[in-house]
Amino acid sequence: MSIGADFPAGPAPTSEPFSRFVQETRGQTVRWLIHLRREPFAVLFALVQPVILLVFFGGAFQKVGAQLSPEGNYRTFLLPGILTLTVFGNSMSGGIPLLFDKENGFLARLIAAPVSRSSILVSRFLTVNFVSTLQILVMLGMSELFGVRVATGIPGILLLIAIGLMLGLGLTVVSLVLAFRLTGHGDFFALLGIITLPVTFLSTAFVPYEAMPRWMQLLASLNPMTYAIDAMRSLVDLGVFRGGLVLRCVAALVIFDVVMMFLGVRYLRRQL
Amino acid sequence: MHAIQLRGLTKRFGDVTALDAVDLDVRDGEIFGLLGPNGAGKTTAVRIMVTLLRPDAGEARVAGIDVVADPTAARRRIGYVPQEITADRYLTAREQLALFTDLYHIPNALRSARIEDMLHLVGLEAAAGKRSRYYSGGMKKRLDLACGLIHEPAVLFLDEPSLGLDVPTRRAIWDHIRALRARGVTVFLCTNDMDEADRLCDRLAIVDQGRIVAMDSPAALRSGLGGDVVTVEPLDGSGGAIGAGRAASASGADVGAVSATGIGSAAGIGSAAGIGSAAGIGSGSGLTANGEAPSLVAARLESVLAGLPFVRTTQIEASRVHVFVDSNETALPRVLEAASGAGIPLRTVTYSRPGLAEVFLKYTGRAYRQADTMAVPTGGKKTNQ
Repeated sequence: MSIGADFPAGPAPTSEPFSRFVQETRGQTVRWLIHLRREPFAVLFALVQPVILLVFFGGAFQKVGAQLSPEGNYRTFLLPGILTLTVFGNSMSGGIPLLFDKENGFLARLIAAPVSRSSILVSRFLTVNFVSTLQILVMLGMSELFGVRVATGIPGILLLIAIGLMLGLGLTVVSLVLAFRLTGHGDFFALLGIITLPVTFLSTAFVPYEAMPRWMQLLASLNPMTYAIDAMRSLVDLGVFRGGLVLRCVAALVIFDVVMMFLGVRYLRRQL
Repeated sequence: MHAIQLRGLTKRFGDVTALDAVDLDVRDGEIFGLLGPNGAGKTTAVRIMVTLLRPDAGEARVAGIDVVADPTAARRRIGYVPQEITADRYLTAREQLALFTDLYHIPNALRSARIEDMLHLVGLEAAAGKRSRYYSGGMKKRLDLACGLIHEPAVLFLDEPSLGLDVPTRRAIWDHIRALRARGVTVFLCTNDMDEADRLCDRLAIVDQGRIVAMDSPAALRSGLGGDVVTVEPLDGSGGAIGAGRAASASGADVGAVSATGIGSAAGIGSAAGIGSAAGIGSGSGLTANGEAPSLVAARLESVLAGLPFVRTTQIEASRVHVFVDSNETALPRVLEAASGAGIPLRTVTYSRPGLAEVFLKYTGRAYRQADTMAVPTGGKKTNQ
């Protein structure tokens, strides 16, 4: 049974699809940035925490790990791992505000608005990686104090940040899918707690690839963290871009991002 | 002109039919209410109409747009304020309204005028620069309302607009909703509050277990009952103390009855009892079918009262007998006389001008209570986004 349309089709959208996308993403990103600004302690702790890791973890393992870096500084070896771990933590937590939005009804309003689903993802990605980039810069600055210097200089630092963003993109997608998938934030935090340590140790964050047993090498080679770490390490301590390695790692991260985006956007479309 | 048209709208969650082939027309510019207990299917209906949920069958048009076929176009014409308070506690009212102007693609040139207009509409100008965490419940609700109106929707959906608000705040929210009607907005609200439905709505539909059981203006629904209601509860032969215990078990059995009918086939019996000459069907099938020990005393009392000339109709519910009469004042003494004449002592006597609660009773055969949460699972993935 069909119903006759009594109404005009509604106001035509006043702008082009792309500028609508920009506007809705801007609105949401501004919201997240206001959240950051009004939670200054959370941001401060986020900045301090990886520094603590670098100072104490680096100090504790200095003796056993000294030979892992050309200059005999374990912190040089450690820095890329901690940068990557920071990106991992931020990005994987990227979906949490949406979980709270889901629980208090705000997400329903967002979904009932004429916004594209990818704007939700993009606004979270921009916010999370804005913080990650700040953290990377702070950590690089702190590392200088311990005599750890990025051997490839400013271009190396820029590339390092770009690698962090590439890892962050795919992981943010994973986090958003989990946020939609899981029913409450308790589940989310539990899952995050369970996966963080194994994912870290099944990468080259603390131990070089060569020092791992076979089975760990296999798992580590499937871990996107490994590629981000290896690329960053080459930029930090070898002082060369060592084209082949960095390029291979970047390619692996691009593949990771594309696959995650494809699966994630498909999932979110079906959900919303 | 119809702002909303539903045809055969159906939604199931597992075995539970939350909406059962609902047909509905909401006129352009009216305040229309969906009244029913929690779990009746109200929120499911709204979530379908605001494009958050896909129906299993049927058609829903809002402002002339098929919400399933073209959700994005529908979203531009729809305002939606969920029952939860959604105000973002970190943001000021002005910042939240700005966010919604972006979500609804309001051109930059119109933004600030629109934001100020909304602040004025809901009376939040003075607090506009404060974060909403410092607002009272009523202020947050008004902010939610303003956010749902920022794009000047043709139809505004309000899910339980005054849930959890104190009385003066409720009145203020109602005034805002009436002001919207004056602006030409069609308002669709769902509520489980009789008072709200009665005072606010131009027309309303009473829903029970996913079906619309009655639809009209509140006044017409009430006058359809005719007159007043005297409710008597017999004292069981076994004496006062035991009588009190029995009343408690009777109300327990009543809840059981609700879930039993909620599941499916029995729904038809309930509505048949409501519409028909209620007395016989209600007392016969209603009570014994539920495994409750039949209140024979109540049934006997009912048959006595039903025979009185001034009684329009009677209805039995748990151990109480509702007697619909023209006037409480003259009926009350005669009801008491008839009861004592039949040798049935009474435990309680109450009387009332019928309100929507009695309308609900008439059409569903059950008292209007809030315990009826069995019909729709509130958790679950599909409803929970």
